[in-house]
Amino acid sequence: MNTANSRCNPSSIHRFFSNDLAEDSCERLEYHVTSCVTCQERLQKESAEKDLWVATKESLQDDAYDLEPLSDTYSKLEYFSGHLDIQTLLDSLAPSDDPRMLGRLDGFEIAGVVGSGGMGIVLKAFEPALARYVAVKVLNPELWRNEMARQRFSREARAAASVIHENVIEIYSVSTDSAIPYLTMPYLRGETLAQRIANRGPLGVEEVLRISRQLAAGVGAAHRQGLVHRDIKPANVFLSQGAERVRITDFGLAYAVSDDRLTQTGVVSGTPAFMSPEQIKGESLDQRSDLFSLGSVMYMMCASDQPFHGETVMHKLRMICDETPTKLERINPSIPTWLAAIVDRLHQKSPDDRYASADELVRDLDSCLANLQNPLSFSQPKTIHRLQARYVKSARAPRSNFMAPIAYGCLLILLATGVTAGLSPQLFSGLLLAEKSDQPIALSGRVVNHKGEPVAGATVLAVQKTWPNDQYRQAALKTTTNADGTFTFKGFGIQGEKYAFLLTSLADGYAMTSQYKVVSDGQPQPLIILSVTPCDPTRIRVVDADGNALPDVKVLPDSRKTAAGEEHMTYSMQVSDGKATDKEGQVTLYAFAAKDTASIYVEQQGNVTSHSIQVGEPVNTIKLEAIKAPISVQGRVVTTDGKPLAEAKVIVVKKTWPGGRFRMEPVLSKTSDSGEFILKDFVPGQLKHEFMVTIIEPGFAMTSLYRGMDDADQDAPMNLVVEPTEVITFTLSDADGKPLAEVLLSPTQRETVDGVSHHNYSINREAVSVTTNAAGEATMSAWNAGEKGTLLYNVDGKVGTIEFQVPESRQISLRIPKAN
Amino acid sequence: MIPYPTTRDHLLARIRDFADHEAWLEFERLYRPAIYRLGRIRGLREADAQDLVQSVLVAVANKIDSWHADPARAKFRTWLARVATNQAITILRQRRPDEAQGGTSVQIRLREQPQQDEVTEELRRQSQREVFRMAARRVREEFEEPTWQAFWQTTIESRSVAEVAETLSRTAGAIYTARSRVMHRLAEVVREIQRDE
Repeated sequence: MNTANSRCNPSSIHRFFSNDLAEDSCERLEYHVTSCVTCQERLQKESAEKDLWVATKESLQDDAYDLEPLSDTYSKLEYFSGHLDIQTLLDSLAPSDDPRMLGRLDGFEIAGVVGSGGMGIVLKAFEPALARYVAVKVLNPELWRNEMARQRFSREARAAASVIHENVIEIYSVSTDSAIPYLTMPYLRGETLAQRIANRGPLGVEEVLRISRQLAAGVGAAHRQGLVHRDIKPANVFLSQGAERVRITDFGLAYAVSDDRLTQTGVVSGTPAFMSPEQIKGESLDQRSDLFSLGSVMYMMCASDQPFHGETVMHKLRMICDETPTKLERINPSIPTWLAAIVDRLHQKSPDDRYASADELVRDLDSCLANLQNPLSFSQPKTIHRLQARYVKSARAPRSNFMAPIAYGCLLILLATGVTAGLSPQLFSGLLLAEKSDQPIALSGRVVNHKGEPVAGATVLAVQKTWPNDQYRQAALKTTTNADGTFTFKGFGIQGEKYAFLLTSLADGYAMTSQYKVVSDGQPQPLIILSVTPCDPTRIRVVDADGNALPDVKVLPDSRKTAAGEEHMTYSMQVSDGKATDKEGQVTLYAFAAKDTASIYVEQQGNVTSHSIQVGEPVNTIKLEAIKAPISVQGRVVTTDGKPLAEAKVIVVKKTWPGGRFRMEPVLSKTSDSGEFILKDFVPGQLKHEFMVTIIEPGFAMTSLYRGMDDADQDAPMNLVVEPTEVITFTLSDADGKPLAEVLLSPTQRETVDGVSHHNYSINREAVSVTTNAAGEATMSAWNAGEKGTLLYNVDGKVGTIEFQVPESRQISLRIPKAN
Repeated sequence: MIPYPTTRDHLLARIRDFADHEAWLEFERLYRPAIYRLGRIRGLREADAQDLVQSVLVAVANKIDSWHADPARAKFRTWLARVATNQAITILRQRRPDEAQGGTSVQIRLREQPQQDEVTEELRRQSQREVFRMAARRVREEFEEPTWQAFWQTTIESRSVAEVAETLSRTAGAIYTARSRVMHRLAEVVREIQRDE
């Protein structure tokens, strides 16, 4: 370089940083700096102070402690994409009336994220139109713009909806034309088969038969429609509460056999542990692939363990292709040979060697069940005898090993087809990742006392939370420690990045302890040590208002705060687990230590109250007030000029504490001639209430008020002030401009010109709704000119919302997008 | 997030329930990695450090109830940081060696009683680090990839300017100016974030 040609120009460096340097001057500077050491230093000095350079280097360098190394932020993003997708979805939701709801999707109030998988995210939602909770399965946001994926989603939804069978989950509605494609299903209470096995271990023979029989029947129904489920696994089998009804969920991967354009993508779909060999190898597959998976599910029910193990996903896939699982009777001696033989038949590597159809399996299971329940009247069918004989014989034959190298070749093909089918490598690894989180995570630990000795018989509770959204909490799992203080929770397996558990232990003689634990997928889980310290038996006496002992009242420890300020809680455990008071109204709790501030739940005839006591006194007396009659809360609706408003509709939404969980019990009232309204049926002193009061009245704008409510508040009347407004005319038409008659419209939101938002809880629609006439017109007065509003509409059962701003003319034409 | 009816009662409820959501999010973004590193530096294993983070954040979340807006008292952010430090100290002190794992050296380190000042200082250092990283994420998007690489490879990865110039097919001068430009901007953003705090 020829330095003589360029001179140092400190001011150009100055201008360089303030972006005042023209492009050609920048080039000159670059050229000059290349060889001028002085200016190199000048640049460095002027850009930032020396210690900033040092701090930058220190701060940005990755080291072993980093959670998210900066250097590979991008690959990390891919890794976290599951979470980001959920966030994308949540960000796309319309705001909800209720601060405790995550948002709104068309007519659904989204209450939480239930789970996510490769293809979609499942949300829990409230459907105000029908006042019920539903599960909304939304296509994965990253696929929203992918026409192929949308088509596939739509096709799958239709396919799933076409299977009508009591053992297959029903599809309520499918919406694939709008920006966010989704389908809705019943929100089921109960547990999945995966959870049941995790909680209870191997199931009894009869239970295995009953569940398998229903499963096979449901699968058979889908098969008759020409569908293959492709992802039969315990997590996709739902067991209803009470009456045992098995329902197969998640036809997310089902596809019509005749439609094989997506076959190759299908290769890597599914959950490897329960895949069939032909599915793994990417061969053409038919309904009998589901039968193999069914065999794996039955095996899991009998053994409480997966049939095929592998240290890695690849290893596991290989095991499925060429290994025979450990004999069921060896794992669980109570499994009869004939049942093991049925599972073995389903587990044949060649589809031709399995049952020919699910219906055939149903018949066998039926006769086995009949034989089991009534051996005298029903004999074991001959088919089972033959199956059993063959099974016993094969058990003696040496297992051949020649398949191994071939199967390995299959795995390479699997990878190759993944790529040729247009799957990007990260999508492929994403699927594997999803599989990983699908594996039930087992958590083991020990409860030890302050001396490190094991504590037997302690109740350990685990509450599962998804991280990071923290919204969804699964019912507490409960177990009791063994003689050596150990405990195991199995079956934490909802998909997601991380889980947080709150582990709590309660043991007689020891104080309640709790610990948070974050569990990451795909990592060995460290043993959890729950350490308990001796408690001071806390004697509780429950009396009524007159001081009389109250026997048979349930008392349950809820949380403790130690003198040192530590807090331990049981996480609103079911009250039914409490101890009942004796004839003297007394009970001894072993959960607290002296000087603790304890919180205790007391349940008297279904009425739950929370009490705080300072532990230390020999007997702590809790005085229960007589269960009060429900109180009424009074209020007045007045106009801005102070006049009472008669005949106004008042809607109240009640939320109860504690738990922060959202409960709404709408109450409706109408004002009297003097503008007064009474809201009845609030049980005082029980739990705190929060109300949202909304009023909508023709001639006046929609108004709402939040109000926390304690016992003492009942005497303070609520004043709702409403502003006069004028009538607005809506003209409703469909996407083609045709008037929509008989459409139910309900106001849900008003935003004033000052930006104040008022909400009508979108329930009790009939109370505030109007219906369009034959010309598609309806009038309503809930807004003033210039204000923004939201309307809920119901066009032939399709519920959606539409936003508008009220023009001076107060004439609004709304076009409803095409309904499905 | 969602606009709520702005009644006085409701605003109070909002502060109780959500305590200033934005402040919380920002706090979490900054302190989650900072607390984690604090734990690791003090000899905790990965899972235990995650635990520490969890416990601190849970404690802070639980204590939000006890915070009230009061001009005479600390700002919310200052208050959050203080609660986090205290909780981290409490946990580090209480922490007993996990019987299942952990070598002797780890146990010795754990037995050392962390001092208030030490932890506060460490946490300050770690959160400072997060400020730089947050700034870097933001700044990276503002520059063309080669410009950023000129900065990253010479400054953070300590490679020589000549070497980087060659791999990026630029003149050495272009590397010098590029990295200074990035650094200048980074310093700006760092100052911005710190002012926000």
